Amino acid sequence: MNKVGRLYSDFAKGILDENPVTRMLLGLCPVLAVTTAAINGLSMGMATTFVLLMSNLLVSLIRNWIPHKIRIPCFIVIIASFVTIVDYSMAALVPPLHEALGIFIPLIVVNCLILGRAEAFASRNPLPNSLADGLGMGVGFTLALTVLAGFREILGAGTLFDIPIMGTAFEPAILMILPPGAFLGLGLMIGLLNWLNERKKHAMREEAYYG
Amino acid sequence: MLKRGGILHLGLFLMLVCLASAAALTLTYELTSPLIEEQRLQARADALRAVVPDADDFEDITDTIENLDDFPDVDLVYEGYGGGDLVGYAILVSPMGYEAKIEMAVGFTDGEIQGIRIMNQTETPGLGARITEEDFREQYAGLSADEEIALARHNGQIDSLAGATASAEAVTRGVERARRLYQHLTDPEAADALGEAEEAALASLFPDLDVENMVREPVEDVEGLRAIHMINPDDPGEGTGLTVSVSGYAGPVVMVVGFKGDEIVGYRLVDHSESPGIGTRVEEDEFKDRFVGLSVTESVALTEDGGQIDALSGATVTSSAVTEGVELARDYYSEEIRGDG
Repeated sequence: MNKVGRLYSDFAKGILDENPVTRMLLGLCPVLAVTTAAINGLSMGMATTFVLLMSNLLVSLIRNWIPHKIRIPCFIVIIASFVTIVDYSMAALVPPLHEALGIFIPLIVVNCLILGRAEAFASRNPLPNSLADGLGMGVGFTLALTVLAGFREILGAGTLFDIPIMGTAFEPAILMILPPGAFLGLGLMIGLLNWLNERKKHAMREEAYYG
Repeated sequence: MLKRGGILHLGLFLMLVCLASAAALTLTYELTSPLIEEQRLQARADALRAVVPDADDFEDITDTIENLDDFPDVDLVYEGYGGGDLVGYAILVSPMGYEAKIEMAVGFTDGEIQGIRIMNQTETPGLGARITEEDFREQYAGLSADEEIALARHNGQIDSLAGATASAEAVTRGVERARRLYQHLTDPEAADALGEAEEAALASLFPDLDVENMVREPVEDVEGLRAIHMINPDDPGEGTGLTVSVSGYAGPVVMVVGFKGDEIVGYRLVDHSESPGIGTRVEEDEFKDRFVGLSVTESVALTEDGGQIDALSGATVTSSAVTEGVELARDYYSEEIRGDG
């Protein structure tokens, strides 16, 4: 595979095939906790994507100097520093957004997706690929969070991005924006994706057999 | 010594990474902290202007209030001036919410609540965080500052938020505390801030007594004891209430303990900052009833301290504070008030 093709596949794998939420089940704490409204899911996804990109960038740059034995503490220091920088910068420059995200920003530190990508990818691959990987994983994470949060917001509050869409007769199922709703929603989402995937594989096998 | 992969190499490398991180964080902090402080002051100024719209200038009078300690949760008090005249007050309070303290501003003009603004909160998004929404906040606007502010479930004026009662309760408590301070500022004669609440507590403890005629005697020289209320000073057994203050999980718990004859009638909380839904369970009958009818001659304590009261699981500190308060009052009642009789 040529270089550009490799870059593209490093990017694209994070969106469906190796989606951090629905495939690898990484970073589930924020997935479950913040997906109460679509805007929260989207903002958290974008903030995570930024930290993921920066940590992949730095880890990939210094990957040849980091001693193997202490790579994990080094990654954690790098990630925590970037999260703090993002936190302070947002508080100073975009206070309304910072206010809306509140405790979610510091929570990015404990998102194992970021540590996972640093360890599994950025520390073993060159810079361009690590950036493509970080961006792809970030986009996949953001998509999954936004879809799950949108689903929960529609059922639990009758709105999507705070716009009422279910009509006045709709009685919101508050359960959906309470913690159990996160598990129900995530379970249904993973189930649906797995079902679609199975069907696709099945169709491909049949085609290979009869075709 | 410095061989690759040796302990010294690892340690030095880690130190280098941490140093670089510290440098980056210091730089970020230096660059952003003035901006953040400015944003914070700006947010406060906006909140003040929002809750007292007629004022164009605010003066911080917090330090001039002598008995600020009597008004828990109050952080700052501002007088609002419009065209040189005093047009209202803005009081900043921070009641304990479901997650953490909720920083909010409450504005008063002409004996009414003008409005409230939530400045900083970390309640559950989609649930408790709805306290910032206009639909909820506007319930407070226009309420008279002469009446106690409470949730509808406590026979008050404010509709709670479905699934977020604890947050709604916290905001309401903050508004109520600001209201008491406002009342104190505008009408210092209105006795002490707790008077009204004490009277309500006594009325609830002694439904068959005419509590308005009770004699109230402030106590200053006994640790924790605030006041004694008696229906008949010649015979304390007809009905006596003691106001005591003990320290709870999140600040002082002020309560009235009632006695009749040789029995404890019960207690009512007058003021507290306990966690909504956890510590506040001591206000439910299930716990309150554990004290009713106990003899005043026996000391009251939690079972874990060898006593007769089971603590509420998850709220041991508050249970213990309340028990301590009852015991304090019981001891004083049986030794000092009944003892010589």
